[in-house]
Amino acid sequence: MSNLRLINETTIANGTSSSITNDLFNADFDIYNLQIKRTLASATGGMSLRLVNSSGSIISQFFDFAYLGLNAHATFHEGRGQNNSFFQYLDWSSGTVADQSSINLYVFNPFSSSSYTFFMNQTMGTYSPAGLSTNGFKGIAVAKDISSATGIQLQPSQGGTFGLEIRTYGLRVDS
Amino acid sequence: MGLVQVATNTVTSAVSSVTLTGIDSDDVYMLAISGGKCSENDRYGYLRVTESGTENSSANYDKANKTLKSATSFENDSGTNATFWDRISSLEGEFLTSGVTSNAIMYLYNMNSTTEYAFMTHEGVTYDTTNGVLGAQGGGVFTSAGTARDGVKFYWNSGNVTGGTFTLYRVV
Repeated sequence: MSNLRLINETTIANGTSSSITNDLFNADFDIYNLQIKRTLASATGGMSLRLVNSSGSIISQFFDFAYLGLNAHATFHEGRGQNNSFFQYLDWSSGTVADQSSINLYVFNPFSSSSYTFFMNQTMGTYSPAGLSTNGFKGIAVAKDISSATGIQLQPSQGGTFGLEIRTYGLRVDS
Repeated sequence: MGLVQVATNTVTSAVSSVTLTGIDSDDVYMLAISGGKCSENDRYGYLRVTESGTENSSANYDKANKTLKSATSFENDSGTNATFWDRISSLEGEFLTSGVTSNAIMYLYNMNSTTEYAFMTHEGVTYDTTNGVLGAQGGGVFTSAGTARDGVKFYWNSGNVTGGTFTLYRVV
């Protein structure tokens, strides 16, 4: 049996402005891999993430993030944020229906109450104003407190609606 | 993709290094590090390959990385003929701060070969107050062949390993 265990599959319907997907993180795993496919974004902006607790409430915490933007239509660029209330720029959309993205996101120790939660993502999407050219990100982030999280909240950074498919896997460690 | 666990070590008391062995096929292997801690601040993670369980400390480790940082400009990092790969899961991690850990995903290629160089790709992430969140993304080549590599040894450039789960998987 594979040590890569499917934990959850969730589809968030197009037209959603904010979503909470819970019961993803638990004591059985330290490392999680989320495969996120964004099927729609109605407004210009990037996907933003926060963590939620077992009650489904958003955890108030600060995020640091950094990313390298890899674009076919523009110069590669550095982006960053400090003490932000969201982990921003998981992707970027022009807000046209044609734009989609796929996000490979690792999450480390979200359930732990003794470690910060760390993230690594690699994203590739399309950018319609430049003829559906490639629009990618390689990023890292940290949620700078030790709250125990069990799920994620996603929303577009600049409003509008979106649709998503999320598959969450855990990397099982057998002692 | 599937993962089959080959070896694991969860550190609960200080040790100088963590060695994981069991590579015995031509498959790709993945090393996952979560919650890595060091007894000192601002330390770099080092990695060497092992042959029959013994580390190879020859000057055959080449590397190229892009280090992402949230508080300062990104950094290009490369080198040849070192005696280890560095920036593995951490550079400058502020480990004496509660909650700060180092974390990484690494893929290892050609390890079991006696005729080909061994390759690795890695991504890591940690934190310190000067650089914010930071982590190297890149990889390296072990530019020596002739002996099969059966594992890896992880250690810090100074101080002891005081925490973390280090797991070696075979990718199937």
